[in-house]
Amino acid sequence: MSTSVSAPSDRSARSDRSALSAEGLRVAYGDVEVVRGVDLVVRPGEKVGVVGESGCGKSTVALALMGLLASGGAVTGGVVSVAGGRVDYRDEKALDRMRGSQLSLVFQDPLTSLDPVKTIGSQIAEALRRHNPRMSRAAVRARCAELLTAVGVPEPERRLRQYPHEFSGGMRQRALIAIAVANDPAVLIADEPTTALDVTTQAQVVELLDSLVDRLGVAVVLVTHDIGLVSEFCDRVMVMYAGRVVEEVPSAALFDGAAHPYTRALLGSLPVPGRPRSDDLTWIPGAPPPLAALPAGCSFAPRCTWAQPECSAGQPPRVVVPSPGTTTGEVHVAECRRALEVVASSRSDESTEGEPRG
Amino acid sequence: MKGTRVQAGTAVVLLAVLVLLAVAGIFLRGTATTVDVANALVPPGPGHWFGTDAQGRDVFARVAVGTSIALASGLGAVAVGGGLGLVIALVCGLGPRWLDAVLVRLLDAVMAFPALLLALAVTMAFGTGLLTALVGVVVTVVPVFARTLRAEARRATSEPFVQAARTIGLSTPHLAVRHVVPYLGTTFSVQTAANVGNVILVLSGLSFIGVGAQPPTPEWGAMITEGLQNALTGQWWIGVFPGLALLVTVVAVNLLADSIPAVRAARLARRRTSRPRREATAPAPVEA
Repeated sequence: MSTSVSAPSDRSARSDRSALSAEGLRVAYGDVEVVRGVDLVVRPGEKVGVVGESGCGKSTVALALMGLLASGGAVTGGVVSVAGGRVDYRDEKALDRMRGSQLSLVFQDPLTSLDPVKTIGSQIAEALRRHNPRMSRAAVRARCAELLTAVGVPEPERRLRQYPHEFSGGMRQRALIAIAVANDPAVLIADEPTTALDVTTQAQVVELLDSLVDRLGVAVVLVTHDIGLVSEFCDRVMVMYAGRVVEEVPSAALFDGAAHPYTRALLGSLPVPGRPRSDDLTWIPGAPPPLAALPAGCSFAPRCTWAQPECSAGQPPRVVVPSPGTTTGEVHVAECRRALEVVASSRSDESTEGEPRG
Repeated sequence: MKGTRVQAGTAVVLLAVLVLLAVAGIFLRGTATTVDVANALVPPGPGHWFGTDAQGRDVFARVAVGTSIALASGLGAVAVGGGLGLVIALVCGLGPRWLDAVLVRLLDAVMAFPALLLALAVTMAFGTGLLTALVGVVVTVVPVFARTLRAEARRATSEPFVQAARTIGLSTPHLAVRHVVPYLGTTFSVQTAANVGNVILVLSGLSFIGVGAQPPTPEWGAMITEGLQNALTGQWWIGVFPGLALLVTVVAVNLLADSIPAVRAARLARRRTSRPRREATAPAPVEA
């Protein structure tokens, strides 16, 4: 697959094969552009991670794709296709038909995402009936039980009659995932699905998502700030910073071959079990820039240890990074003029952590 | 908790008595308007429990019929007014902001008038009678429901489960009916109970001053007015019994309104701690 995303012929070829494709997606709240040209292509059955600090636009991308931006927010540019069909974000009826049937979203907080006064069964049934009005009662019941079983909730018949407060946090997240996949969507977007859960439950939920990809062929977009989780679970990782994808990298190449200083910094701040205590974790000085007043040139330059004067002069180029560990067709692109130097340095000092001062 | 139970119990007992009285009233409609001049102004006793009035009509029968009128018109007015208020609240809560702003200003304007005055104005404009009095009362009930429910509906839209319901493709009307209306349940029932008492009071007030139900009708307010003429000469029972019925009704309904949230909370707590009611009928295959 080519790395140039602007060629028109290439664009149409891509969206035919993709479960979800967003090209040059832009989102603005009033005058402030919070997502500045994001390209995201997800093939059927693929697991793509979107990572970054808080406020980088990860969740905004998820909400924008669903057409559920908070009032004041709007998609201001880009072409989005889901399951081969172009999405028109002004057509509310078409969006309603798409949501839950082709594109589903699971929110961060399973504790509050279920209606407290309705049974789990009626909430799963609601999703089924919304998109299959002719389904018989018996068929809906059977399918609900099947879905709960599929997400690993034991005794589905009894569980369907229970209310959300009778479910634990992990069970509620499973129920929400059951609702999300009820209509066999092409893509499931999971927005920090494990953040509100304890660590062992997190692992179970991730395992569940993995098994759903295998069994249903659904593609998963995992939005999270947990870069460790992403590297475990995903095929491909998109690293976002200040409303842009600054690096797109196959997970296999993430730890040894990350080419953007921001990605390296995120990895450096990740605690690794077994690493000697003396190795301090690194952190990134400062905070992401306010989107209303972005620095000129590369947005990350003010916090970057690799920054050179010319980084602040103009938009950084998209650099294709050759990664030895990746198969053909996998893309590794970093939006940094020194990407190749960053990769080279990370490969040379594999065992020593820390930021080379450049 | 115990106080709540006593309060709720009292309300239920009083309301049960009133409902019995109202049912009796349905069968006593004939008796209530039968004039018997020979037996006029008989004091309460075994033959006429509440005595008879100046025309010899049985006061108990009249109070009973009055009870059915009061309960039916009170519940009816609140059901219609509350229903309209709920619809307006949903439009305000889920509709476009500008429409919300316009409707809220209109509701505020209506609310600025005291209920009795507004109802009085409506009866003045459309003629006196029980029906126009009812219309007037409905007009006063609508904004009370609409304002409180609107605030709740707005809050509902920011609840994560309402947001989550959008992700499965529910349209706004679906969302309103399936998730927002149940969310408003407690507020709606409290408002209903709180307003029934008030509506009955306002309706009787209108009849009392002569713009509501008109004299032959055994309406409490109208009966109290009639009773006033006899009170000075010592026939107290003609006005006092309908007055007592009115008092008991309003107190019972307000006691009930007060205990609804506590009772609902207690029921929820019980359900939370109770064991699952039934076991699954068929053991389902458990996947690892």
